[in-house]
Amino acid sequence: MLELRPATPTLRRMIPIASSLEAHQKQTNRVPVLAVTASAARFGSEILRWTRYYSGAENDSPHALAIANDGSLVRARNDAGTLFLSRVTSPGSGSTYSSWTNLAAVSAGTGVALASKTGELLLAYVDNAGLTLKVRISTDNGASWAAATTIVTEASAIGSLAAAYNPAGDACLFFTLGTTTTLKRLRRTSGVWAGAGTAWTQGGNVASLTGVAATHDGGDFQLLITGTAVTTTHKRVWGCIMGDGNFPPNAWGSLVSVAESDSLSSISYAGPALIMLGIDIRAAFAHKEAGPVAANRAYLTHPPHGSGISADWAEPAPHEAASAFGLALAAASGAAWATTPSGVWSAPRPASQSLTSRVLSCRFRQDHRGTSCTIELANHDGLLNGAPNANFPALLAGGSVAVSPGYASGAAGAPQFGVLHDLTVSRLSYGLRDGRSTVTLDATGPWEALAHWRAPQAWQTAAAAMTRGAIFARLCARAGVPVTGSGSSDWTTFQPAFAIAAGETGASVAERLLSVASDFLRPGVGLTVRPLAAGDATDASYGAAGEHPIVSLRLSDSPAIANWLRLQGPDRYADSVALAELYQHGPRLRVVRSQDATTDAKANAYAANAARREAVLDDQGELRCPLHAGQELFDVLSITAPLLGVTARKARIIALAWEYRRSFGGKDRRGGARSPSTYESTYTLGGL
Amino acid sequence: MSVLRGVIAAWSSPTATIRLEGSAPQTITTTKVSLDAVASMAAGRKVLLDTGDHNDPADFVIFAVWA
Repeated sequence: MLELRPATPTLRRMIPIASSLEAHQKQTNRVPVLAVTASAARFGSEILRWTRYYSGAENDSPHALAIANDGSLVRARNDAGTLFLSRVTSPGSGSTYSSWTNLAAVSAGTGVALASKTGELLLAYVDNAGLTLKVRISTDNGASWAAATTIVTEASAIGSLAAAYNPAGDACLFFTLGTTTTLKRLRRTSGVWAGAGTAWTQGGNVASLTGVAATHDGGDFQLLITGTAVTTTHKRVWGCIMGDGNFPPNAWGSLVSVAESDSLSSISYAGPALIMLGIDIRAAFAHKEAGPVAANRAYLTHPPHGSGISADWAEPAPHEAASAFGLALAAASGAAWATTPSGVWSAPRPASQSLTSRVLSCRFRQDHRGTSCTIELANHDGLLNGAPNANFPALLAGGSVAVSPGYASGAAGAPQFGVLHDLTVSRLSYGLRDGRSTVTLDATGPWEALAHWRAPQAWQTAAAAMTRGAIFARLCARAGVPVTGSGSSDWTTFQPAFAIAAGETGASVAERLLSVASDFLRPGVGLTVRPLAAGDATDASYGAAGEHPIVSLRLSDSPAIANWLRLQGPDRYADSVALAELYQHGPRLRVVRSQDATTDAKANAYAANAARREAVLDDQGELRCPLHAGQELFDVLSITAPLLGVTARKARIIALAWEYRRSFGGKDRRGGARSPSTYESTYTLGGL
Repeated sequence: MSVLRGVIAAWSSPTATIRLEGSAPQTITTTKVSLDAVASMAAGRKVLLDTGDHNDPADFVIFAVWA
């Protein structure tokens, strides 16, 4: 089973491969292997396909959800001052979710919180005209509850409420005082509650608070907070850390923007929820539109796979639930759960599945603007029909397929693999031909994910605020695409004014950011920002004795699309000219405009960068070879071909394609010879 | 991107805050207003905004205003 490699913060050249793999792939007799793994995820983040199990008539109100250790679904709601509890053992599609128990009289409109750990459930609520915080404990998975314990009585009314356990079994309550700027934490350590709450240190950054949610990621408490920002009163959903080990205990991190709405907008946020899905955070909040058209809808979002709450978040997306108090979330090993007072939803969480043994053929192509992959899978037994299904719950259009080429080059023919590609399944096709049932899986890469994403709202940053790299990182996070690599100094230094229009695609935004940068994006597991320098060292050598063999080679000499690049700024321009090209082919001018070129240094740098992009993408030929498992886009090759008079000529891969086809030997149904196996790479060669 | 439609959310000369169509949560700001449109600028009125061909905020120009 393949695992996605973790994101690396440093610039990475060609991946290292085992020496045995490198030696095997040069041999005449090679044994190809291709690993293909399906996941119900996109770029590592689980896909939650919600199915509604219950539609009731309960009033909309503050509510909470937890999964007990025995798998019981436990819900609580504060319906106009009555605290109702529901427990459903072995929850499923046919369970009864309409049965509630009147547990206590509480303060109307105040928050309610549930938290779960092995052997204990914690229920927190507010009583006594909103001033007293109370807790009840269940040690039998919600079947019964101990009498209430008064935790604290505040001088002003308590508003929102959240509770979470840490791995040690200690608990922490988080609560706001009305909609003021005060948020407090109150810990239970070794079974003893603190005598009073302690205010957080971020109160000076907010103007009001409308909701709080909490979970623990194994290191620290993670919070999701809704409210308005200080001074501007812009509406916000924020992520925030409170230290519990990874960070200093009880230290508060900065507020990280998750969702934004300006102060004049009719949109506000409330009812946050936060859970851990494995190592990943998943959040929900109420998106309240005052109109027109007035609507309350739950939205879901998450930071990139493996990232914490302080990372850039994905674009929030709507859920079916319509509640002014948001969506409560909980996770079990096999399913995620979401509830409102009148609704229950569940989403399966299948494990990844290998498709390696079913692969009949694979065609892969990648260039600087996209990735495409077509895999033909054997379906002789019909087990893939209607995927996702009970046999292959992880195979679905919209899900992921991890593809990694390699050879049986390890000890005793063990498989060894090279580059890993994390692709999104764009289509599953079921076919029947010559009596054989197959499934064709079409998949695309992160550029296509950017192209499919459209900004749901305008966004703008002033000059001297964010670098191109930071803007790009934010864009990719919104589109759900992981990004690694550090970029060039221009990418990480210059801070242009920049805007994104509502409806603009992520690919369009990325193109504009890259147009005056020397950086390129290499698809793989997400996108890697890679500055390309003319002096980059060789990554692999082809053609000479002991080097990777060449099957065919074509080297071209043709004019570049542009050899004269003019960068037009707001009040100046700069030219970058490839003189030898211009002398030979005549002037081929292209004008690039950048309002950020406000100094001579920037204008010259942008002109040079734009010219480099032309030079790198200049088609200079094609090389075909036995598949090299470690080769990636933008790798630099050294090519030797004595018959063409070429010795150690350097070129860069600007497009990469490979094909795998399994051979079964013998003859087909018509008596013809079956095609032999195929396992070759084809590179389009560009400039350095 | 070229010409977009929006509504003036706020006007405090020379800065216009525009809520573009399809962007309910967020506005954008610009200080470039066609000279013959300045007198007509008022919150609630509709505008046409030219974003140039690079979506650079420095290119944004409001060139039409109507009630």
